[in-house]
Amino acid sequence: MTNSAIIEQPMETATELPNSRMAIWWFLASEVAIFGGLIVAYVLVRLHHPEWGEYASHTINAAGAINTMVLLTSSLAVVLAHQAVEEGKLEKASKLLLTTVAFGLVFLAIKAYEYTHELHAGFTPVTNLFWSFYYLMTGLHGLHVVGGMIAMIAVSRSVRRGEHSARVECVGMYWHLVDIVWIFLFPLLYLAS
Amino acid sequence: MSETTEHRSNYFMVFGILVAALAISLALAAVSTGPIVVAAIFAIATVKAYLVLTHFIHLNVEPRFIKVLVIGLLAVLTVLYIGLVPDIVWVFGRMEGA
Amino acid sequence: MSHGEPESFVRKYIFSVDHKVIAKQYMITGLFMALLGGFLAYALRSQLAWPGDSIVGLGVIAPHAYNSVVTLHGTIMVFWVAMPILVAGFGNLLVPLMVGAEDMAFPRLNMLSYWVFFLSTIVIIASFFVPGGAAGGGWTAYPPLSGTVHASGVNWGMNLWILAVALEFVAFLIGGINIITTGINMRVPGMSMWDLPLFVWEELIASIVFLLAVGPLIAGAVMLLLDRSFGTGFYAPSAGGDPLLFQHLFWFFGHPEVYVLLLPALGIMGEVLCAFSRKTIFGYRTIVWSVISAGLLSFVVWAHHQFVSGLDPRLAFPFSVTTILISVPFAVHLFAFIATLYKASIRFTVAMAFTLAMIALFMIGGVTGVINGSAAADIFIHDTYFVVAHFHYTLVPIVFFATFSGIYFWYPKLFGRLMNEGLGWVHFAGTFFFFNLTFIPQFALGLMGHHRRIANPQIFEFLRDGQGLQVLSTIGVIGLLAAQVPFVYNFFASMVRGKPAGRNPWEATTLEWATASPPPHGNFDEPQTAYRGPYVYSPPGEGPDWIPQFEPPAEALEPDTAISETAS
Repeated sequence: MTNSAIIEQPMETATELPNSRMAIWWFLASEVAIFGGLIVAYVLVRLHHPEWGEYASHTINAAGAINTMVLLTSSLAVVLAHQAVEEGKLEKASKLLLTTVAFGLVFLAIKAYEYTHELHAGFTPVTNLFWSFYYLMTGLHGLHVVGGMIAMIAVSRSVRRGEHSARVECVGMYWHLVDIVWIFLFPLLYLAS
Repeated sequence: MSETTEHRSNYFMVFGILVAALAISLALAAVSTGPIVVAAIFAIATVKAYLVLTHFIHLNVEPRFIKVLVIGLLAVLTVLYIGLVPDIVWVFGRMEGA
Repeated sequence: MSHGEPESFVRKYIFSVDHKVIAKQYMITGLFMALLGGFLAYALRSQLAWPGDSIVGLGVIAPHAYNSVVTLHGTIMVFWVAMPILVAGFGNLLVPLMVGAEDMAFPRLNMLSYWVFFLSTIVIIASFFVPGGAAGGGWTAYPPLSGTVHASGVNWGMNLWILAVALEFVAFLIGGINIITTGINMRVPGMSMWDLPLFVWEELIASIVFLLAVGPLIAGAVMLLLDRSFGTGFYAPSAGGDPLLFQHLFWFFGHPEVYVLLLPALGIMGEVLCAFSRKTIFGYRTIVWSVISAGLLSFVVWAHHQFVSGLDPRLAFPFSVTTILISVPFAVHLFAFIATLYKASIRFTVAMAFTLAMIALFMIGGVTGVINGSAAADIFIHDTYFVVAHFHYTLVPIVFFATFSGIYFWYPKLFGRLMNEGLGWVHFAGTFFFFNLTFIPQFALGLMGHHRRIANPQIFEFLRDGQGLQVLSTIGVIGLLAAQVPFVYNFFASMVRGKPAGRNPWEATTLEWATASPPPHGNFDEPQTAYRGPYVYSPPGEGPDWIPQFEPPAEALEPDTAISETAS
């Protein structure tokens, strides 16, 4: 199957974009609007409360940094999966997607460790507004990670069968967006203290 | 297949730059927490996001209206931010905590 | 097409992926909710006219129940009537047909979006029946009124309200992405973006504006739900939060939302106007650019809803300016419509009558909007019935007049028949007269200082003189509801009794008239091509006074066949 020529030819459209990629762009736009609105709200409230710098120093910088690294690497894996599809190596693409899922699991495990540690230290979502924002933003992001992992498992199964190979790119675009969101959450919630 | 080659030219290089940028921002954060350093960290984050957007999500090869969409979206969020600064950050013109 | 025509009843009429069936589902759900919203309007108007009396069909309304009635009237009319009918209903029906596609870009997502919407409908109706009653914080759901249980006395009603609105947003995000992709990507060969019918343009811009504006409110609504359910303090000043944040996030979506409703309505009017004035639209590109610029401007006007909320006074001026500025593109838009009528050979049908009335009434709404938009005037009339009258003069023409116009016009494409024009005229006359009777008194009441959220105006000395106007307005709303009876009858009876319409009963030019009425599964007998712009009416020379977009140029066919094919 490795060299098979079963690469989906997208339906011809009036623009050069296939329908799926176009729709994903708009979907990503709506996601950016949601996260963007949340980040804007957080930045505004935080600027009003300079004392939050002290709260932010209780987040675990090392864990956040490792997680940033994990997500960056997973992004590389998923973009390589897309490249493998273009070269017709569907088996490889499927494996790379599962690698990405594994990275997602590592991310969630580290996140779970952080939550446990913070809750034990007495920082709950209602301790103060900083922690409310912290749990809301990382929690929402974590849900997106979970969603992306589920989608990637499904796509990796279908692409192994040679079906819907165009979906690799779509799920990859979504995963990169999740990565971008984390790129901003990391300095917002961890580094700026 | 010219578009495809353009796609894949430099994924590892982009990844290397991203990791280096992460290292720089961590080093900066370790050195100081002053406003200039924080600004630099966010500038680096923006560069990282830009690299992922252009090279991993392939904005660089998309038609123009997708680029317009991205710019428009950022403009919308900027407007939201600017419009809310006087009320939420400065809390000008009303009693606070009343 | 990857899927053939479905056989079973369930796949064909209930869990259908056909955009026309989904459009009908949206419209009928929306019209049903309009009856519910109308009943709530009747209830609250009766309470205002005869405070404390038992209302026929409902009984006595307690003050906190009045809050729920007002809140749910507004919520249902905007999110469960206007959105499903105008954006999703007409959008689903017309966008694929007008661009010549066989279905939407993602038929199964389309079905999903309807059923998510349907679920949200169930949730909002269910919220009437939970302990404590339905949400009573106003359709804007400002904290602290909505932020804590004790503020409004409503617990589950408010939670269900947030849940229902969130589900509804999800449905319209999915649907909007579908409409955008279809409208841009599925155009037939020969149809450039500048050959799109106006309705498709307006639907596209509306969907884009919705998609960009709704995100921050989704974030804000999640924070509100957390405040209520878990005791976080995003909007509680005692915890360092800020209730004004929610107002900003709400109106950052809420004001563009008004244009999300307005644009499809204007698109419907544009199609009807051209077909019945037998003229090409005046200034097609000007209209499209005015719509685009209105879409952009809609993101910088939101704080004019908050002039008396404790907003930074320095913001009042810029937001006044942008608010007055945004009337310019819409003035351009409406003037282009009026210029289209100049020297036209107008055909007076019911659809045309609703469109013409909509232009006139919407002007009143727009002009009073300029008054509200200037901060100095707004501080006096804010939250009074003047504002209520203003936005009903914009929204009722948008939501109902344009919808009726569209339904009378495209009924052939829904059910293959024509609606009865005689009953239609009765419907139009009643709606027009009683609408004005309902809302003109409210301008006066508002200037008397009648606040919009009080259940009993008679407890205020200065409002007792206005009781006559209250009764007049209530008679108006009862008449307005009664005037819908012929429409409801007409709508259902015409499905079986209406005159068969044929392909192109109105002799219109856009692609939806190229196919049978109602269009079969897959829409077109053969692939279509667009040969010209959408509105070629009354071309110079002899012959018919319209040349459809899908008709090949004369030299390609013998003239006789070209015309008889489209007329058949």
